[in-house]
Amino acid sequence: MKKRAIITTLLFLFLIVSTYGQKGFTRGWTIDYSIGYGSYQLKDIKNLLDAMPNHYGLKATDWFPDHITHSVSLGYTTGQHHFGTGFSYLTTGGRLHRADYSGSMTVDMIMNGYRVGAFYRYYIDTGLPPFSFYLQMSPGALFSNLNMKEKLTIYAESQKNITELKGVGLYLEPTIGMKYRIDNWLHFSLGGGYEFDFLGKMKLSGQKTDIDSKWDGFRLYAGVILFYR
Amino acid sequence: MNKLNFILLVAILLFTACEYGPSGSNFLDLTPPEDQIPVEISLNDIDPSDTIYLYQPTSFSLRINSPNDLKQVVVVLDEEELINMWGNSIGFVFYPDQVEEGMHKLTIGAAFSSGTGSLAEMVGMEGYAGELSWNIRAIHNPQDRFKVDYRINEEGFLELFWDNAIPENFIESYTIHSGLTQESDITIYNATQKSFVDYGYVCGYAFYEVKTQLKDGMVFRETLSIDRPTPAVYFEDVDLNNLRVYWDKPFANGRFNIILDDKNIIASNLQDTTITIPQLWGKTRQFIVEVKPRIGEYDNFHNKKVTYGNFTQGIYLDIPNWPLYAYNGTDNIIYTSSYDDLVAFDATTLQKINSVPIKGNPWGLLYGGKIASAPHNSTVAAMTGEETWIFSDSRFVNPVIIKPLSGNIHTRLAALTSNDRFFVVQKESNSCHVFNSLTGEKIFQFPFTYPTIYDIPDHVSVSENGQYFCASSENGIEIFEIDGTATKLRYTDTRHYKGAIFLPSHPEQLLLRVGSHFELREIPDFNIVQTLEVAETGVSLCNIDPATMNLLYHQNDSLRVCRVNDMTKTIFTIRSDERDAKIFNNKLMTRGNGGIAFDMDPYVNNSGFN
Repeated sequence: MKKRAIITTLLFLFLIVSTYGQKGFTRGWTIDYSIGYGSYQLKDIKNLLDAMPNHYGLKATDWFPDHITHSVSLGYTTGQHHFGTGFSYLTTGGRLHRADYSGSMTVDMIMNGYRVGAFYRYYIDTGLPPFSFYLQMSPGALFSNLNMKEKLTIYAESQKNITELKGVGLYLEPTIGMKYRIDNWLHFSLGGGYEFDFLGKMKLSGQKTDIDSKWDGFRLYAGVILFYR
Repeated sequence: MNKLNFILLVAILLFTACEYGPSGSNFLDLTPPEDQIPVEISLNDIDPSDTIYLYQPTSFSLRINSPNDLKQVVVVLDEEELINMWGNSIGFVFYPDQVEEGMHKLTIGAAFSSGTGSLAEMVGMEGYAGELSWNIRAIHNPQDRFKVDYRINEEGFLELFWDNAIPENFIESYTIHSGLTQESDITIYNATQKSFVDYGYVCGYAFYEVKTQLKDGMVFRETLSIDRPTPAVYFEDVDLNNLRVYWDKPFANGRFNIILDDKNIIASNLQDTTITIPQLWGKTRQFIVEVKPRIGEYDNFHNKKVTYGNFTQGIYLDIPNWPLYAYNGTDNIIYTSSYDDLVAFDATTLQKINSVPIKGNPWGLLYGGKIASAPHNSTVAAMTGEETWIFSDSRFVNPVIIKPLSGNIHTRLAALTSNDRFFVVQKESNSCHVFNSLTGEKIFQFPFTYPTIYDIPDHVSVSENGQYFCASSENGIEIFEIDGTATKLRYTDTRHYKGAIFLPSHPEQLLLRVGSHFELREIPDFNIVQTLEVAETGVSLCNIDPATMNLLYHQNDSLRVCRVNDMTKTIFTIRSDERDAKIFNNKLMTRGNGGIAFDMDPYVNNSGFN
């Protein structure tokens, strides 16, 4: 219910802002890079970590925390409209660990997400140049990769085992943000949104599992936009 | 474009460098284990220096003690891991068939926790281990390898011996059951004693059951049957007077009793297998050799064995009992009877020449009584139970049959004379009947005064030429001279006579047994020619051999032969009970006991009486 309310609000704001004049906006190609911070639901992945065999006295020392995101996009802007394609990189991880005088055992689970999608951004003239607001909707595909690295070291002997799960899902992320024009070719942007993930079942060696790779969560962005005319 | 390239490069570096790296450490400060801990491993409380013998499914119980937790127990046979056990259930059953026959090494290995709780302990790379080994010898089918056999020991007794695949220290006892040689079962508690001397066995069949009782209660049984022949009896005719009786040595030591004719024990408790005893001619003697254990206390009903043997001194003619005999000097034939047959034997070779059946109704020759042969030709007469058949010779054809003229063993006289007459005196008759031996016609008869009551020896006699007739008895004697059909009493007295025989070829000489003498007298004057003093009793006159003129008589326990012209000189003696034996052509013949002959020729000078 909370997600639906947010989406409805963002669409409403987009329609209102779109009724304002379209003056003061330029036309050209853009390259955008943003660094961000995201929260990741990853419910099934966390459950998987919790359910790992624990007869070695393993203890979770890292549990898929919120972490930095990286995004780049290539777009075209004309007037108040800005659209294009984008790529985002999400990463987080967890660890089970146990160590004593005889050795150690580590289970690291590194979860990476690669989003490839489109975006549409609508700028709203605030009348306070060089600031402007925008509303954005970006759908796309999300490729997830869970890398599980188990390492057991007893005295001088060690043993490693790597397991990899992969999944492909869809995402939809409405975003709201603001842009600050530093120069005609360089803008600064700041935004926040929420990512909704769909599908995304992960596979192990080609065999489907019951584990969903859903990264649902808030996203914050800060980046620069380069314009080429 | 330079700006753009710069930005892309920065972006890629950031991307590659920014994969999340999980962090955090969970280190437990544990105390490392000691170098050694005490470990105790016990397998059925068996000393590791002892050898374990596996001959039946055996349950092994392990007792393993250590201050640390037992994690695993491994049973290793030689290099092969047989059993891997976890937890506290540390026992196992071992089957002999699981391993090959022979010696093996059984190792019990135990792994213990270190007790530190370290990762190394958890993955099995830290802990304590101890092991202990035993030598184990697998024996397959020990029952089948319990072997019992027998032998004769150095002392000559039967000795059972056995062997087990099971070592002696596992054996509680041996039990020997021998119902045929021992009164009760024998139990041997000394496991090293693997033999038993059965003093109760000598020969024959015996059955043994030997049991090995193990200390654990297991019992092996083995049976053994022995069947060794009872000794056979043999005879060696050593010489005229000695007979050696010998028999096989039995399988084991024994002692022997020699029983004669089923009643007389002539030797007892012999250990030797030979005995020499006096000969006894005239009968087939049955010898019984009783075989018993050497030691009398082991005698019982079953281990007494008996073996039989018969021996006949001389020549066994294989003719029925009570054969009759007559001799024909012309043909050198001895006539006798066999059932209803009149049989002719060669008097030298004693080979059968011819025979003829003379059946009667109902008696025939089988129940007849007398055979006679003529001194001057080949005529032979046989008196059956109904009639008398007279054959001209041994061809036995065209007999002259005189009927009714029966004879039997009690007939006192049946004699053919050289004047072709046949003289007959029946039992208890005081009348002599004279027939023509050529026609069978009765010529005449004449009475006499002293009929005898005895069947043997001959008391009534007629001279070979038919001239003189003598009837003697215990009451007296009469001697008649016969001329044609006339008789004339030439001598009589009332002495007690015990036999009278006219000499062959010497019709004028009469041999008498009277008082304590043999008297050779001349007829008709009754002059004494020769006398021989013999015992008053125990002496019996037999006959005079027409071929050799040897006189045969029985005295005490022997038959004696002397020249009738020199009775004082005994030329042959043979031990015998036959008081009515005959001698023809130096062949001793018995009337009874199936026809037994003895050839005296090798022992006497054949020079005859002239």
